[in-house]
Amino acid sequence: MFIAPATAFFTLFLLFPVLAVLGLAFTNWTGFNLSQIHWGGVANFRQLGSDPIFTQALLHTVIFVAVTTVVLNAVGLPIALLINTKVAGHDFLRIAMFLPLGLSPVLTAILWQEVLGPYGLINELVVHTLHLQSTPIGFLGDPHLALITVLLASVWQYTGYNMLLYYAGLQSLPKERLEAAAIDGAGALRRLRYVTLPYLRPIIAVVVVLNLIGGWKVFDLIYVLTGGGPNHSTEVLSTYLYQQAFTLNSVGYASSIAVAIIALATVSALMRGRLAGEAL
Amino acid sequence: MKKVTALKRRTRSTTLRRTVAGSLAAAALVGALAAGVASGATAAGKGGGPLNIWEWQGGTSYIPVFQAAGQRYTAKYGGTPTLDSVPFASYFTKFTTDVAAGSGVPDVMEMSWTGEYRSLVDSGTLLPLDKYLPSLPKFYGPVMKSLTYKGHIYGIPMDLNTLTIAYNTSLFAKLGLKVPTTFAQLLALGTKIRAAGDQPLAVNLMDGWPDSDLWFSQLAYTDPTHNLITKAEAGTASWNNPQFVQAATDVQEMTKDGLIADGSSSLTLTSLAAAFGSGQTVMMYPAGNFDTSLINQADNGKFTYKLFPFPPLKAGQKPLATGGPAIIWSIPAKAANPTGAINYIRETVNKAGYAEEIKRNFIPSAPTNTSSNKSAIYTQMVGFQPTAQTRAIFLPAVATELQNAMQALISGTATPAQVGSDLRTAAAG
Repeated sequence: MFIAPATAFFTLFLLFPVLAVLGLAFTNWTGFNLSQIHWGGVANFRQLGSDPIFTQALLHTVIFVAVTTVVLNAVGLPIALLINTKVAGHDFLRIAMFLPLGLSPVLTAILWQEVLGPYGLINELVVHTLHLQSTPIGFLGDPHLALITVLLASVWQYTGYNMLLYYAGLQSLPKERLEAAAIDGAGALRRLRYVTLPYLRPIIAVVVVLNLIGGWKVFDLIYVLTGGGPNHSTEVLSTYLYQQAFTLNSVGYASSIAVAIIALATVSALMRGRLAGEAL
Repeated sequence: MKKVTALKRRTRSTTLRRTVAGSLAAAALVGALAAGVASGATAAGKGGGPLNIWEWQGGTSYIPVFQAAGQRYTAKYGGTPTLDSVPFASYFTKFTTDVAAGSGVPDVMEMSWTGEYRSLVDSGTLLPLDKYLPSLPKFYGPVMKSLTYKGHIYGIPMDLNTLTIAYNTSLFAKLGLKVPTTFAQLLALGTKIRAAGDQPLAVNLMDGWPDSDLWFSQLAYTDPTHNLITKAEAGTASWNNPQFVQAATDVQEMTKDGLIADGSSSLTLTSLAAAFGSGQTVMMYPAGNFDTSLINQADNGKFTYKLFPFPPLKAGQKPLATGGPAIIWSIPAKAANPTGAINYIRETVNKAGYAEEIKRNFIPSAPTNTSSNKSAIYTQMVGFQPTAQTRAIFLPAVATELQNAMQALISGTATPAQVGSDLRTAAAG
């Protein structure tokens, strides 16, 4: 009885949509009339294998997931450790790191568009103030730079998220353990290596998995910042899914892309148990 | 005992009074509701009635035009139209969902002139509107041609736009430049402007659609029949025929010769207008009634600007702008009040509707007297309209691919021949 509302909610808003997407992935449907859904078998999944744009989008998504997961943790954890030492200005640092998280990804994208535009702050500095080059840098318009720019914007926004989770974990680290290690002659690095990191390992596992899942389904920031362009150079799975579903009205094919995203996110979620299990 | 009886009587009497009063109130309420329904039914019977109108123009000068049409509709037919400004980003997602759910479908909807238009027709979602055309103005021919699909019209153009190059007249005078009359002169203009240390033609390539519009601007000349896209869409011409490839070659020349301003690939419409309006580039494309207000916001009256279409390839050819419908009205097949819907649409394109448009710098979709608007830029735009050539491909996959292929061409990662073959591949599905 007590779990009935939660079960109903879960069934209606999670289980049913996932099952519907799974079903639609085997159909050809334009998304308008339910009577016009036609069984297509595995044709959509076959098409995924031969679609060069899907391959490109998958590659970009893998790059996005890998880079953001590594960088967010490589930056977020040290900053959390630094703040935890109560170094001078740690309160300011904590707020400064956390602030971007308070902005919506859409607002972040618009902000970066302004800063990185050809007449934005960075290009004004590079071209007109410092005279480092004569033409503006095409941060978002150059196909070779656009993905890097998107990655930087994402890292800027979400580093504070990782920092916060690690900082919360560090707050619960029993001081006795660190003191005991110090009495035993362990230096700062050894205390980090043998006390702090093992203690944080379950948290690291959760944070990594959250980053992975967030990376697989990234949409808003990229959609607003570049729309997946120029010429698919920042296309990721979810922007390609959106284009297929709502620009080209290929809901069946879009559903097969959604299935791919669900599969990748599920594999990532299963990794959490493995990562955390090793720590326990 | 007497007291009890009296109390019972009083109670019965009070209950009776309450019951009568309650019944009267309920009857009044039912009556009022019935009257409301009857009045709605009467209004609907007169061709009016409540209307739900969807558009994505929230916050723009179009809203007063829509509202004024709504007031005239109410006065003539009865019933109140409700405007629902749905952001474009979620517009078709919401529409698709509502149609699939079978509820909340609008009576009148603004329609996108590429992509969605034909796919919605193909899915049987829009009503054919041919039978209403005799009661509407005689719209410009090229526009109606572009809205004809499978021999029928599913969208009524309310107003039009033209896409031309805007140039800063002060900078032109300072640099001793003249409006080019051939494509070669335009390319030479770019070289001169760069030699003077300025940026020539800024284009908001970041938005994607202007990349396609550069191609359309050249196709207006490379396809003298002005019919090749329609043929290719019908499958009777190839998407990689020489005229299409030549249009891409012209765009490639603009890039190679340095006509396109540096940083254009990172410009959006807003930043384009800001850059041009603040004098950072000598020319900008595309200029149309959709961005003149943005330019005016940026320039603060510092300079004046004028317009010219992309010049023809050869001297002596007539300059041609590109353009097409701006606001298109469609009626969903599941609309609850299609008669009211067409009456509302009529109010946006009759004399009074056009007067509202002209007042706000919108270009009417049929020939009409626009002299009440004295703006020089507006007069120029209206002047380009009768011969404006298409800027639409109605096959969603090809329209999308054109954007991507042109982005690749402009960034130097594709050749004009590849643009043609990419379009052909996209059309083949």
